[in-house]
Amino acid sequence: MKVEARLFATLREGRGKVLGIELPEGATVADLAARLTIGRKDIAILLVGGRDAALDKPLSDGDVVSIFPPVGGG
Amino acid sequence: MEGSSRYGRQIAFKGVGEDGQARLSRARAAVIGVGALGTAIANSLARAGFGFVRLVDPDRVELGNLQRQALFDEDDAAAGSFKAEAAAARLSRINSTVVLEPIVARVDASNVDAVIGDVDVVLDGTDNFESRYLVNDACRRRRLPWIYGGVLGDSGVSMNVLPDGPCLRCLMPEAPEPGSYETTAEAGVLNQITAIIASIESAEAMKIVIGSPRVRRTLASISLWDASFHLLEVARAPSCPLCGPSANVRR
Repeated sequence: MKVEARLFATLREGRGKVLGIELPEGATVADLAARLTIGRKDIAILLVGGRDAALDKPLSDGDVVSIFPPVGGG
Repeated sequence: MEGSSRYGRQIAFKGVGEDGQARLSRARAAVIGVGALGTAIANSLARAGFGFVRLVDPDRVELGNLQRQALFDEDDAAAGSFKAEAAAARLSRINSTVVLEPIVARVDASNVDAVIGDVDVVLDGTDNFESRYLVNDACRRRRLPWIYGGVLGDSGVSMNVLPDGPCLRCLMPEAPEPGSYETTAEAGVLNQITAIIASIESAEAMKIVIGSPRVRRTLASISLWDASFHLLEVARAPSCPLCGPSANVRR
């Protein structure tokens, strides 16, 4: 299956903004994050199709996954 | 009247008008954190004619703040003035009709209800998630709107946390642990992104207190270095401890 990863803020550095990623059937958000070498602590907002998702959520073909790091400065 | 000459350009804008300006003059706001976001927010609210602006920050002005913290100058840094007090002093010379209340304190569990208890809207100028989650939970309990804003590097995000919309915990169930996330001390921050996010927060606060139907319900994300601007649809999370079904049962 193929999913779309949309990365925001500092997660784009060295990775890009929008990435089409091929994953095996049954892959989860955690598998996608591992593929993108995004560590757990670098994930703050995680949306699959606009809804908050957990790392163990199984992905489906065509899912859009948006990932933000903690953006906490002020 | 003084209002029409001072606020003429703002009243001429149809989204505000005379009625909106009158509402602004009665509106009460709390700005939590008076750094880069907080000074730009306070500047905007005071010039726009909010009736009351509370400024809450425990820190003193330092030279390293001047790159992005708009209301302070080298004299403030040399004197080590408290940010809340220096900002209020400067703003009182810009708009003496606004009641400014500087509070030199960090927001914590003991004072958060007092800080937000008597205002119409709370704006986020903090630099840490512990404060944001305190504010989120306290505002949620009171069904009070607050506006999340954060910056890092060239990027910033903002979301209006409205009583009938998703809260910060709907997006991030638990606060990132202190020390586990990059701060602006490490990743840096551009003064242009702090100005933009502060302006977005301030415009949304105006809409909220005016009662505009145009209050934004999306998560805004901006990265200046690659010139990208996004509005993301977000929803309440059924698993949210404050907004989900189990929370409703407990209430």
